[in-house]
Amino acid sequence: MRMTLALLGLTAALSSCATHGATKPLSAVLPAPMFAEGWRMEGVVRSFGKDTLFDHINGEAEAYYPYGFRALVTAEYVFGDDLQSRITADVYEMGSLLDAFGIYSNYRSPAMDFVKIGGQGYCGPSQVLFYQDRFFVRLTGFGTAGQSSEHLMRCARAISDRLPKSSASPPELAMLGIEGITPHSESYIAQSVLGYAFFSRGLVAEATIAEKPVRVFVVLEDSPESAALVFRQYADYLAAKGSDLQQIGAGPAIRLMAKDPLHKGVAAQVCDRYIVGVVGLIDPVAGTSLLEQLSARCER
Amino acid sequence: MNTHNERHAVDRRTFLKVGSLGAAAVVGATVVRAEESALAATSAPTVVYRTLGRTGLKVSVVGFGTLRTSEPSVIQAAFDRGVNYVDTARSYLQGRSESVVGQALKGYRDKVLVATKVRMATPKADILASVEQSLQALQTDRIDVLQLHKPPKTEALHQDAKEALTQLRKDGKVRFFGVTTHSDEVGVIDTVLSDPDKFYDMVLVTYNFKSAPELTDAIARAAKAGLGIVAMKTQAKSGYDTKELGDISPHQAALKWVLQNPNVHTAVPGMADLAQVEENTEVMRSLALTRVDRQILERYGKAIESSYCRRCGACLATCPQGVNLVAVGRCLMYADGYGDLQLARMTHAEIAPAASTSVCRGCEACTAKCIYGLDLATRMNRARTLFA
Repeated sequence: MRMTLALLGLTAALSSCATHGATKPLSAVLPAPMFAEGWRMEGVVRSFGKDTLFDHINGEAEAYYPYGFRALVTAEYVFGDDLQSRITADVYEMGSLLDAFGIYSNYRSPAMDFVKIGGQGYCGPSQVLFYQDRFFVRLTGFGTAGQSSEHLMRCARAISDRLPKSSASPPELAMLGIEGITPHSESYIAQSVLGYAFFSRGLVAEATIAEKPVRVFVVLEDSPESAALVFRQYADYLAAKGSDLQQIGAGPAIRLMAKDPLHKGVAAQVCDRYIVGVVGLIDPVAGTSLLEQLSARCER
Repeated sequence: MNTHNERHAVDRRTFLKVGSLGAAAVVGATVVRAEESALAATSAPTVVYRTLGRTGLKVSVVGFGTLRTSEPSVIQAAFDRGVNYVDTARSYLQGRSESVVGQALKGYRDKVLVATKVRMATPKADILASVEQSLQALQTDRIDVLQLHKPPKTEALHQDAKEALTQLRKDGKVRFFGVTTHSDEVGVIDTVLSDPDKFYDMVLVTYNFKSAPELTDAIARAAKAGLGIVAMKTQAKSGYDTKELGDISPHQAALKWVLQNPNVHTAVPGMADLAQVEENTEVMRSLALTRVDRQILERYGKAIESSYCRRCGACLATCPQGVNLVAVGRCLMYADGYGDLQLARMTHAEIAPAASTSVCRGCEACTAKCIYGLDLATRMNRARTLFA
């Protein structure tokens, strides 16, 4: 087991080398000695790994581990002689494009001001966050110049230029390209989707049915067999909780409708290696339309 | 990730079964108890409360660290099982964690105690503004325990912070104050204890079965002086694979170990799902650390031992060449633990040359000593191969 893990780790490290060039460490993604005129790096690039991430972001580190966190490089930039105006630039290397999107989506909410950078980003009065390839970038500004969107975006673009060129979003997100989804509400959960351990990872998004808020979910499994197995676990769990479980149809196309103990009404079914569903329903039958759209997406 | 998570989930579920069977098999006298436990598993255990120091608050010994869940209903499920202490922070996911707690509090606010954190900041207006944001995200008019988020001991008693917090209490927005620490814990606790104002009422501290006895002593001193003690990072390591353990999860045993100490008033394990809520709250059924628990902890400890540097720094004085053994050890972990040589070398390059592997002479009679038994000579040999 240790050997396997070591080999996997080595593969990841080599992949990182190939991306940045054999002589370029991850720290090279942070522009030095400056990212734009007037903005110079103060001190050196610092790096953190799994066991020291909390030194930089305290207990928040726990949120990064399920997303395959590998490394963080961080630098401080100051503006001219104004030491109060500064930008902290954090670049996290995550496990994959989907993982980078996932941790990004934990910070994002639909009402934010989105900017075109990398896979997606948003810009606020004192911060810019974006993901690109398997990297998640978080810039925080302080002081007058540091909090300016213009300066923050300049820094963001300088870092983006040094990352692998990509504006791709995770292909899995295409599953949520259906009517009724609230734009920019999609998130990737790398652990315990909907609060259930048996739903190990998946996508969740907000949606509306007849102006009532609901949530759609797509549990990502590795094979149709494992999806069917997990679906059965969920059905058993609902049955054990006395949740008015109704199973409609038979075989691979079986659909369940029930009252979920945590999420009101649910409608769900297996599609190939996914479990798709809608929760938060007053009446599970109301989820039928969204469910059909999700399964149609799955069949593409 | 998927494979790991699935395995992890199965491990947790399996543990509940294996743990009970193990208890029955190994400790004959507990056979009936194990059966009772299995029968009772459908209902919530009787909640065990302790008093959080001089705050006088009655807290369930199992609290809820909220960072790892985005589901308010999971937190509510814990409330339904008697958990009445919930811990979050303004900085967690830039306030998203507090928002999740805020949603969970609907219908429960008067039954539970809310703790959050604020970063030390000057001017004090920044602290006041941060707390206002917390109140808004938490959808409440008061915070029960507000903690300064990991101040260094030099800043733990900063006058600006005290003034800001006093203002908040005067305004009825905060009831009690505390500090959090997960490095130099003893130093921070002693700093808080040295405060003639006795300004802080509690400490949130990293504490687990791997903690040094000095920390247990400091916690005892703190509790005796009336400070409330909340334990975090009760599992010793987070984000680490424990596959070497097979199908046994150490989580309950590790939590029980912490709660064995009566000076710990509550613990706030992070919980991501319903299974973890059930697993953690189940320990209230019996806080006694059984022989099986001890065996599990022993195996868990061994599994993480080779990589578990407590970063106490006690080794630093034992190398006459002045090698920063703690920093070099971290580089080794990146190289050998994670298989990430690039990160290891990059981190090693950040160590001051006078304290890096390059000054290690590979002395035949290496005097470097780890008080917890890590083989530092072998580790330095390995480090020279990789980094010198």
